[in-house]
Amino acid sequence: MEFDKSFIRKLVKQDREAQMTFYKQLSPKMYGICLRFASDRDDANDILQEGFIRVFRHLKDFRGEGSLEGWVRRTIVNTAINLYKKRIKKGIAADINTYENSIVEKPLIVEQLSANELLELVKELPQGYRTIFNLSVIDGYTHKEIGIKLNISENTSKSQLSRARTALQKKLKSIKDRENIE
Amino acid sequence: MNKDHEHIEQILREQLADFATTPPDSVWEGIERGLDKPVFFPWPYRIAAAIVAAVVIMGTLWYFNPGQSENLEMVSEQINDVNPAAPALADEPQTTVGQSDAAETAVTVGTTANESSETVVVTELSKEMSPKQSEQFQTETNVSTPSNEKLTQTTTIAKDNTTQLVFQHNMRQAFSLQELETRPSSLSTDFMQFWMKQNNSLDYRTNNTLLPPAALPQTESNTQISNNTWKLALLVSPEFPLKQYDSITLSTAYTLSVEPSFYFKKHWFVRSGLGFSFNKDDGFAQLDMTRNEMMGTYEDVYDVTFDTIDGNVIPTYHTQTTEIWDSVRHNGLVGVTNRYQYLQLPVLIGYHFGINKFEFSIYGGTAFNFQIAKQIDDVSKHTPQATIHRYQNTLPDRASMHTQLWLGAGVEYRLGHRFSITAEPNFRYQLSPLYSDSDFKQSNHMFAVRFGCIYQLSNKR
Repeated sequence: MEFDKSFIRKLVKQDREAQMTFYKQLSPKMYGICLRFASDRDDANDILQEGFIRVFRHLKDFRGEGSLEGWVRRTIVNTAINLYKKRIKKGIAADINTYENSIVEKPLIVEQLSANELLELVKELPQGYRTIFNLSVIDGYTHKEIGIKLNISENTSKSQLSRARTALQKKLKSIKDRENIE
Repeated sequence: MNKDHEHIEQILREQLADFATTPPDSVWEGIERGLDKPVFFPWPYRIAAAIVAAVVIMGTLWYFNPGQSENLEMVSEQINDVNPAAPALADEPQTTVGQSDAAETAVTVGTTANESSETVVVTELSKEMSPKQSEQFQTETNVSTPSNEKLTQTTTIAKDNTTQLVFQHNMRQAFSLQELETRPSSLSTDFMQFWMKQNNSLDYRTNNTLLPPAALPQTESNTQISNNTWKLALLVSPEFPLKQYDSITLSTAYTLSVEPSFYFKKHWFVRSGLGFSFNKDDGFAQLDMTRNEMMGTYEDVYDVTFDTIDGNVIPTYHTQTTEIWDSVRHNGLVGVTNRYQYLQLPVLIGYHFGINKFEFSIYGGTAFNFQIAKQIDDVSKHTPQATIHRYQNTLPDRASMHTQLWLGAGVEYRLGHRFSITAEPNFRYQLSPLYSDSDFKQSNHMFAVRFGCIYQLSNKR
């Protein structure tokens, strides 16, 4: 999605109408990102709200490198990460070491799940796993980049991703088992 | 296993990377509220910003206002001092006063009544314009001018049917130097541009290109407060007594005053105003009184009981602490403090001169002090339980009115176009006694330092 310079100038000048238009165009996609990172809808709403406030306040810092949508996307992701960090500090963030490795059978069910169901799957992951999983698998960040963002080592990022995958597979297996029973 | 992971992740990526869903309306409302909230910076940054802003403002005022009146005053001064070498011209009828169709304001040289000054200045200017220059002027500005000979005899430089060129003497009133620079149309634009080019300068402040340098006699100082200027001073002054009496300690008095000044005849000023003065005298009072005072305590036995222990009778005395009070007569001296408030009315005349941004002055005059309130220390208030037999405050009462002779000097530093700060040490000699008591009529004197700020009001002709 591209925006012309005059529109961006209006946004920088804090034109409320332009801001609303901008929000309406980008918010659905950004909300999808927030839902992936958040534990629940309230958190997702907070991330989206805080993210867009930061977007509008710091739009003047956008240097035109890359697309504006990509810049907004990164801002939203950073907002989600900041929320996660705050939760860690407060001790609210879910422990990321609680899942054990387990042997999982090959899942065939994932193709049958809708986007919403997959989203619910991801949301059920513990927050730490979910954050790293989203950053790595969905948003395409390298482990080095994730390490910098979350103040963790590259190896920690890798190990957490591995555990996230295991947890996800476990959930898929449980879905499959339920369906078999039914 | 890895392939399973990749497969799952690929599907997740495909499904979720661009997953979009509409957020609730409450999110946008929250965004609007967040954007409407003012952004506050932490207080250290605010303080730093305030300090930086203050420094920038003061620096800007200082940089852009270094003695604006310099050249204006020089102009007016020089006009007055120009050699009146063309008396014949003064006899010519002058029609240059008044507004032209083209110029925005009327400008006259000297005072409106002084036509010869107007004539002389123009003559000087025209003398400086050589035939070559006048021809050049005519060529460049396309304004017709008489021949050089006629130039020396006429009163206008740029002559056409609609424009007449004159100069306003008291330019401070009309407009500041900055205004001159921004309103060139108030003078003949053609002439101004011509002179600027001739003098190769656009900076009036440093090169004084309003008039040719040769036409300008030198003056010692080039910062003068122009005539008929009003200033308003707000001053605080501690007054230190230089002489004490045997039984009186005169404390430092403090005065807060508002004083307008009127500047005239180039170097002179008169100042008056109103001040509120707070004075204090410390001394002693003779006091003869009787007062109940506690002398001490003792344990008073109010009961005795007896107990038998091992066949022995042991008394137990029950006591209570009892205070002993007695009336005591005191006859001696106590410290007292008398306080006075005066309305101060100075009438001063002074002489001033300036160098760059400093104005120096000396002044003298009389200050009248009228007592408006006093608080005489009453010891009985400090001793409510006593019987006062005799009380005599030995401190003499201050006179309801006294007069001082002031001789002082002042240094004023201009911070901006109208605002300056000042410090004025002055010596004050009592012309009338400070105390009404005949035993304390010897003369006294004080030293005071007045600090404050001065605001220049507009000029008046």
